[in-house]
Amino acid sequence: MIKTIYKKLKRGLWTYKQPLSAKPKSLHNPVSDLFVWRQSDKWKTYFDLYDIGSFYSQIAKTKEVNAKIVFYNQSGKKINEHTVKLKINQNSCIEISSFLKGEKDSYGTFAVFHSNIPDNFIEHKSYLTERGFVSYKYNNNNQLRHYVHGNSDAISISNNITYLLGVSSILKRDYKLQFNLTNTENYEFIVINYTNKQQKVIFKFLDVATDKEISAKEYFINPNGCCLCNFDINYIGNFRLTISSKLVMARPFVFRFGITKNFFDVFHG
Amino acid sequence: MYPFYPLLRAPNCEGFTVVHNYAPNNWEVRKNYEKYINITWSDGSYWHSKIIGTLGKNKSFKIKEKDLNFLPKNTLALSSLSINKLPSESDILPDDIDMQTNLPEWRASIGLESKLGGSTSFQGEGYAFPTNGSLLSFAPFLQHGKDLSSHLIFISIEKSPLFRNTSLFFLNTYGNKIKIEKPIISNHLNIIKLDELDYDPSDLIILVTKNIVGIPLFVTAYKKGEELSLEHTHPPASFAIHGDRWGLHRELKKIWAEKFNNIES
Repeated sequence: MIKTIYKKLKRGLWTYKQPLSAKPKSLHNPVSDLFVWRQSDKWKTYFDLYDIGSFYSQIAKTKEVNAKIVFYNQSGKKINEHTVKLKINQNSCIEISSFLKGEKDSYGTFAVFHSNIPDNFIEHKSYLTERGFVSYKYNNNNQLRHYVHGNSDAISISNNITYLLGVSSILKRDYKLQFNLTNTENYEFIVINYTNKQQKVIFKFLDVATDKEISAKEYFINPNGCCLCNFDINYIGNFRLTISSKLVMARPFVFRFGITKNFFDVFHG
Repeated sequence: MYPFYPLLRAPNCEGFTVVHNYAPNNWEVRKNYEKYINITWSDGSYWHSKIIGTLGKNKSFKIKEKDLNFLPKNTLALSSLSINKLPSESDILPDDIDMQTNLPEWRASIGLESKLGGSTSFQGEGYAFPTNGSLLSFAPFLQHGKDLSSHLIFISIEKSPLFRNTSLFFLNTYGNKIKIEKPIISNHLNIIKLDELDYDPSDLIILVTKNIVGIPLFVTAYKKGEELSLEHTHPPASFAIHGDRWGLHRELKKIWAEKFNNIES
């Protein structure tokens, strides 16, 4: 009995009032991930947009439905917004980077808010959320888009004002990426901040054979913003990544580039 | 729940799975152990498990299907890490001490590589699905282009080792017509070529099953594998957060079951 209470108290330090995402202010407020955009001569970003709300009805809505896309730069400052009319039962693959022409940053975040929130969401006291899919073209060398889905219910919107749903952890947490990093590939890791506080994030690279730290990099991320960490040390061997922060879950987007083989891939932790 | 990590297969590609013997966070699993690396597969009557090695704490191991020459051809190979030895033969999917985490789940890197250089992976895991479940899935992944080819990999894992023959239905984007019905088998890795299904670029692929649950993975190759893209669909329950999201999910399934029944009748 005492052991069980002790275990619960111990776990409570990590879970009490530390949800992955808080409830939005109103059931009529849609939720979105904070997705990552990249744009430059080498990068194009796309998003597949369709009316999620229409899935929850036997009859398609006749009134116009749309999605608002809000863009932030890497410092978390809102830089643009765009409203896209959604076609009934159709997917629109939108080139996100085309809305960011002239933007000096080459990466940042964006959120997608749907206008169509069906009544059954309200009845079940649930919130409609857009979790992605983003896709990227790198180096424009072929037609293929590389897909990745979102990884956090990060942000909501009310009366055209967005607000974040993440909370800070009481204790510092380690997110250990379960991926074997090697010197035959290059990597870029992007972490977003979905809390209202600036977050300090430390990327630690550890040698797999010895468990010793090879390198550590520290970043400060503003709310709505993101940081990009690359491993640019010429290191022979396999290594892994631990991300320490007060984010409840610091899951990175991982961009992976072959050195000996010429490929690009993206996934999330 | 005891997770399994499937090994993938796709045309012109070889599957790999990298298992990791360290927890993805520092607070859910306090103590770790050296573990057995297992491969589990079904012959249609029994589950078989074979230890292929041991994995020390904080280590990773890459498993390639081509290295598993003991496997029958076209088998769905499930890798796993266990503290105890799994039974070499059993009539129910074996399991071991649960060391699973939730935030995030304990995952492996599951991917495909091509001889032409392409490599792609995602962080994933698989559990046994109920045999009486159905599936509804919305996928935007179909990419069109003269040098692109796309396949759906449908992975079903059930506790029973039986191979059940059933169907996967591809609906049109309005959900009012079956484009094609494809045979699929439980405890198999079902590979379906998508290019010939006549979907338009603006169509969503809507997948429906009546009596099987699985993970739909979409792989697209550029020039037979110079580049690869791989992603899974979201389960529709993830369109909602908080509240009675599972009740809402049941409602969604009911709406689509009615649509589907109307097509069939």
